[in-house]
Amino acid sequence: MSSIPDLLPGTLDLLILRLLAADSMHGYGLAQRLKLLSGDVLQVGESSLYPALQRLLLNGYVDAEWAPSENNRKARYYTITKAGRKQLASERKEFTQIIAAIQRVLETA
Amino acid sequence: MTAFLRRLRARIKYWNHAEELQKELDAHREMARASLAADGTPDRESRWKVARLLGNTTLAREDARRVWIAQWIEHLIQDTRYTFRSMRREWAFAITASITLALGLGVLVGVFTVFNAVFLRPWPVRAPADVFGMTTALIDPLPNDGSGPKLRISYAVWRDIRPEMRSADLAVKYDVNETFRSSPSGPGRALRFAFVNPEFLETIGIGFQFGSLPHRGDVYGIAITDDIWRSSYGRDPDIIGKTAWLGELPVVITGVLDAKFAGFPPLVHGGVLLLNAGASGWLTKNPGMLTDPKQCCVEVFGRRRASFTFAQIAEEMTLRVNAVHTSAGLPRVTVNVWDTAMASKPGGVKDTVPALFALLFTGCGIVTLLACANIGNLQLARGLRRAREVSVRLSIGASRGRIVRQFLTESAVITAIGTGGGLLIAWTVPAAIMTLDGATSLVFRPDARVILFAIAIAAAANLLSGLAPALRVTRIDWRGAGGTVAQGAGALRGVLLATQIALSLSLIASASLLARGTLRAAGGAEAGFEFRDINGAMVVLTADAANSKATHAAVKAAIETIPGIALADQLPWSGRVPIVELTSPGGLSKVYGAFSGFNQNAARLLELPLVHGRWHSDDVRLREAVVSRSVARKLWNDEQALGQTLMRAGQQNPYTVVGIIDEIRLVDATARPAVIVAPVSSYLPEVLGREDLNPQLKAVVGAIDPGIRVQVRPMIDGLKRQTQNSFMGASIASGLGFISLLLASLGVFGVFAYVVEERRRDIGVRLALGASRSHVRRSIVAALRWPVGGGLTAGLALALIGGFVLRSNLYGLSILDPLSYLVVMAILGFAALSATFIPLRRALRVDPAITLRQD
Repeated sequence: MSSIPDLLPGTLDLLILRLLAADSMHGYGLAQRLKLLSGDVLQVGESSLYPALQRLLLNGYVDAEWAPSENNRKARYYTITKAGRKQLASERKEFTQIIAAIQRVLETA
Repeated sequence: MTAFLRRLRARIKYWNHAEELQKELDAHREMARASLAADGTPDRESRWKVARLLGNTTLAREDARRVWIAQWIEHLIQDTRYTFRSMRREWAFAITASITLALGLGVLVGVFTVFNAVFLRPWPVRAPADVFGMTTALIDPLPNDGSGPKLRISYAVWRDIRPEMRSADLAVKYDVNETFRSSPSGPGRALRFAFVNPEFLETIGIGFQFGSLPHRGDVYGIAITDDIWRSSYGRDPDIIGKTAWLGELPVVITGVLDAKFAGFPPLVHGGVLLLNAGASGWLTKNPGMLTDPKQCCVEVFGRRRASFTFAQIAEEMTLRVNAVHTSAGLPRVTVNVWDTAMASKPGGVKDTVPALFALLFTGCGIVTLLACANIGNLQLARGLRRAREVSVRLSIGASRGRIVRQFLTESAVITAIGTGGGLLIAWTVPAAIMTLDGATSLVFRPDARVILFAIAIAAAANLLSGLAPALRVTRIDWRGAGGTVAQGAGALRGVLLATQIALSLSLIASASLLARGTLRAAGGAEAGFEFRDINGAMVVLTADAANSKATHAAVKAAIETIPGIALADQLPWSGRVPIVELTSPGGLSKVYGAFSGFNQNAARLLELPLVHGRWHSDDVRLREAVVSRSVARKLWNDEQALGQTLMRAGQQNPYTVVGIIDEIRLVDATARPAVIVAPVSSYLPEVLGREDLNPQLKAVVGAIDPGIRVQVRPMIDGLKRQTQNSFMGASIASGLGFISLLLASLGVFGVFAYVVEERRRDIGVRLALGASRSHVRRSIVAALRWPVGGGLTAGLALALIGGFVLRSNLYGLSILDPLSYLVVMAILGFAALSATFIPLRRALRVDPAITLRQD
């Protein structure tokens, strides 16, 4: 199992943006979805998730709104903004390049 | 920029993010727990599991908050909040400290406000940056042709160069002091009035609310300032054409100047009149003023034409002035040009009431220092009371820097409140003081300069009053954790106390000396001649007559027929007695002296103290003169002066010395005892006398022209006017002295109270063991023996230095004047007794039983 801080810097922000690009979600939902999609590999605690969300909010990549959740509790739902989508596209491209580069190094060295 | 705005927007949008975040984290946990519960996990276990899975909420919250707000800002906010909480608890301290600092900063910033208004603000005219004034300096210093130093040029020179000037438009002004009355017998206001050339206002850029300058030459017309229009006429819209009186001269009001123009700073002007031939004759009693290049002098101003610099203007003016000077046989000069902020005028700051400002800045600086020392003292006492809190925080890992920062934040909050109060004082008090006698042309609103100055001083004050106590308090031996304070706090407190006592003593002593000296001088104590009840009467010619040499001569001859009449060229202390250069033949030695023309009757009336020889003949052609001892000593050797000759600069024939008088102060109350008394030589002399001079004079001169008026004023008025500044200085110094005394008393009170508090247990034990109350009192007083003794000694030394620096403003009063020091000692003694009374009484009321039980 890997915790998020061991990933490349900025990866969590990228993953959150990617998840939100599919659908609006609250913090708990994001954590669950990340865990599910990564096959229980990526488990984020509050101390990583929420600073990342605050960062995205501050940069205007996401918007937040309180709304009732599935079980009728009030939760804060995050939605990706236009700026967020742009950021996602550029970060994703960068990430792919870096991964490819790392891959190349690992395979050819 | 857009990123910044977006962030700002996000910040505003999620303003209450701390609360939101907490709610969000709670929701997160609740959902995690519910999902575990749905899987069948028991409630207690699910809570524990969630806590383990999700980690430290507080940390998460802190981390998330840090995204929004930098840590140091957060600390600052925390510290500020803490400060406000503790200020609510210790409100007495907070109020005392804030008021102390407001007073301390207020006086200093106030003086700077005045300084700013006087020296740094440009004239209130259109595009002031293009307006300039000029002075000249001799190219060859001290030439032997005896022309003497001149700072200005004559009207005739100005008239000649003006049409030639390519780099600037020139304008000319001649100021007079006169009393303005709206009715012949109404109350008068002593103001300055400017006589100017017709284009002056347009050139300099001063507009009218309505009306204009007079154009007719046969009447004196005046354009008055808004202030006069308001105060003397209640904004009467039909004011044009009304008659007012300038001294004895009736003038017709022809306009009201722009409201923002109150005069040519720093002086208040009542209005502007046209400088024409008639006016010049009336002004100078000298018909040649507008035509003779050798007649000194007028003030020349100008407006720069586009694309020229001040340096180019100075260069062009130098060339043109020298061309005229050379053909008129006048010395060559260099022209200096300065902009209208007075600080840039050569010698502007140096020559204009510098002593007063130096004194004020020093005095106020001292008060500010006192205030800082006091607050430092209070902070220290307060910090030591919190020793336990500090040592606990240090021992659980807070860094010393963090705690020092907290202390500094606390003192910064106090400083901020104090600065606000100080700015308020600076805004209101100087304006109130300076406008006491009516109006001023200065603007006292704090501008950016004043606010920056206040902030700089406040920052320094904060460091001064906050840093030392903070460092002191955090030097606690934390291993003891009980809050034992290292040795040295007492010493620092002692130094602060001594400083306060020394500074306030020196300030009060200086104020006392200044007040005594000024009072004596204003009473004419140092005059050296008789002036009580003596009046001067000036004959005021009509506009036409003023310009006619024949009328002058006729009036003079008529006056001289009055038997026993006492005549003088100028009234002593009127500010018109010229200072001239006197040289022995060959120009070997020279001295500057007040040149006063008196006839023998006047010399006797004034009881001028003749010590050797005899009085001069009244016949001008004989050229006899009487000199004061300092002139005789400087040029020859005292008595040997009799029979010697001396030259007055600018004149061809020498005077023969026939008598020597003791030192007198003819020009002003301060100094310049060098005097030469010669026969009356002016076109129209002043008449001196005790009884009412008016009817007798009127009868004589009325025969020549019924329009001639006589203006009578007491001689002492001139002296009073001259000492006005010193009076203001003395009252301001006294005010400062009072404030500093208040601050020092507060300091003494604080320290005594603290010592009593610190020794409460000690006193209790002593009393329990049978010590007498007087013994306890002695022991407390003894604890402050050194600070108080040292402070008094240093204060006396400072007071002597202050007296020495101020000696030119003391009008001959000895700096060791016993009465002044007696007053100071009495005031200080009373203050010390009052300040120590309450703490000492509290100390003696300590109940041994209660004190011991408290342990």
